[in-house]
Amino acid sequence: MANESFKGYRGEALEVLKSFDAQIWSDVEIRTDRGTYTGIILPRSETADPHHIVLKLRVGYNIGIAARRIRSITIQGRKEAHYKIPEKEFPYDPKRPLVKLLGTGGTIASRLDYRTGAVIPAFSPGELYGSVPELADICNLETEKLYGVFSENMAPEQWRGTAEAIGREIRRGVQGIVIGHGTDTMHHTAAILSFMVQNSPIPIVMVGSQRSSDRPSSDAAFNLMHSVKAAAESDLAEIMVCMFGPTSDMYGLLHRGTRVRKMHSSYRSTFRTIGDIPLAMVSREKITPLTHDYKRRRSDRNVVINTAFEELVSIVYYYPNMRPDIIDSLIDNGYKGIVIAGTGLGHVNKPLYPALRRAQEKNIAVYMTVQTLWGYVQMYVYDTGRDMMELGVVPMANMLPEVAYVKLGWALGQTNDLAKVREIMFTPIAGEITEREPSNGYLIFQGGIPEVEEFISKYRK
Amino acid sequence: MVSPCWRVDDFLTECEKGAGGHTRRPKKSKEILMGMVMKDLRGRIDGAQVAERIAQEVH
Repeated sequence: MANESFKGYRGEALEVLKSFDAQIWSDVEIRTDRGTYTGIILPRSETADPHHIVLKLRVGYNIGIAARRIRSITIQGRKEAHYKIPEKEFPYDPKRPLVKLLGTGGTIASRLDYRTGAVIPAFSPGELYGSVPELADICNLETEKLYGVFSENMAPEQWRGTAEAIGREIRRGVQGIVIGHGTDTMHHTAAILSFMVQNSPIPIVMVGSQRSSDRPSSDAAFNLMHSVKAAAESDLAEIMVCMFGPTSDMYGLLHRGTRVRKMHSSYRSTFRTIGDIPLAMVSREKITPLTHDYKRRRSDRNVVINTAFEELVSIVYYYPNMRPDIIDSLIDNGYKGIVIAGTGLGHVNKPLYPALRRAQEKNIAVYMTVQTLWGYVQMYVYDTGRDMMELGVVPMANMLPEVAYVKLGWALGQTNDLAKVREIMFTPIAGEITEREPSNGYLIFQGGIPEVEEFISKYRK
Repeated sequence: MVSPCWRVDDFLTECEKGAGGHTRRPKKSKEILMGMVMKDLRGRIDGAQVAERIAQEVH
């Protein structure tokens, strides 16, 4: 294991650095068989691969250089980063609302050390004031780091802890809550918080960033400003996700926590409302509701926190030729609930039927959702759908598969009585089932055709 | 790439020139200037310093 001088490096990368006595923070010129690079050797995560050395180039970008390609390293100096932002207190203005920022992991804001190019995280109010001073024009800010996990590691333990923290802060009297969260599973957390935190009198806004805050194209600062504005000033007292709306930084969108989904792996405008339209647009100037159908802000503190959750629930994405052993293994491992994302109107193949019958006999709750995301499960249309309902599979209207997954876990956390579970599943709590999907909601453009190209040319930046 | 030795005052002066068209909304001049400065320099400057300097300029 490398010591602090070679922090995070191991294997062949460590050997190469040691052979040239090139420690981290050294300002170096590295000659490889593909070219010469100058910059600063950055420390690495200890879980990073052992084959590359990371260099912060003069232009500000980081690159990885394969250790085996390095011919020589010439040390020109040393520029160690100071991982501490010189802090000034976040200004207090008695006329502004109090917003609490809860952190679950990741970097919500940062600044660069301009000598070295290192990215310095910013989270405390003072640090955020140094990075996003516009926040002081919106609210009085408090922060609390609940967890430090990547979003894929968010799980029921963190969901419960976040819900309890929200309850604590509402009862304390904050006027808005922002939750910093990695984007990958933000819609899962938004959904479960919509069930664990009910009757909130204030906005609860989840936010993240698709591009890290040291990149010129970062969405971090805008998302943070928009989310804080929504938490501080909006009339929408719901669990929401606030992220980039269009591809430019013109405005953000507020999405309902049970109808939102990450739809692109890298676009900043990745979050989309499915089966409905977003709740509102938010810019630095104003918040513009897009619907009247939302819960209004109140002045009381009567929030209900219910964090009971059954973890033995799974979601199964159906594919052609799926074998019954997938369902059987869940039954044999004691699972209490299964959500199926079926094809089309909600179908699976016949070979699964015996396994579904077995699940019914074992008192396991099985619910059907659709892979298409848009539209409703319709199991009355074909014989196969009716057959499955006879096997105990319950069609779950237009609830999104991930939302059905967390709601089933939450419902089974309340009771083992499947009739009551069914009643809970079909009782809308936070807009997770809608009576109909608006025709202007479903917009999936087919690139390449002239009318779409013309439209995109006007709005894409 | 912005030189590390640039000064807030210099950049602010440039922004104020650029913000000339916004003087019809004097109440928003602080936010406009802040937006212009931070848009280009976020992450490379202490925001608290910018806020302080703009407050002096506007009032």
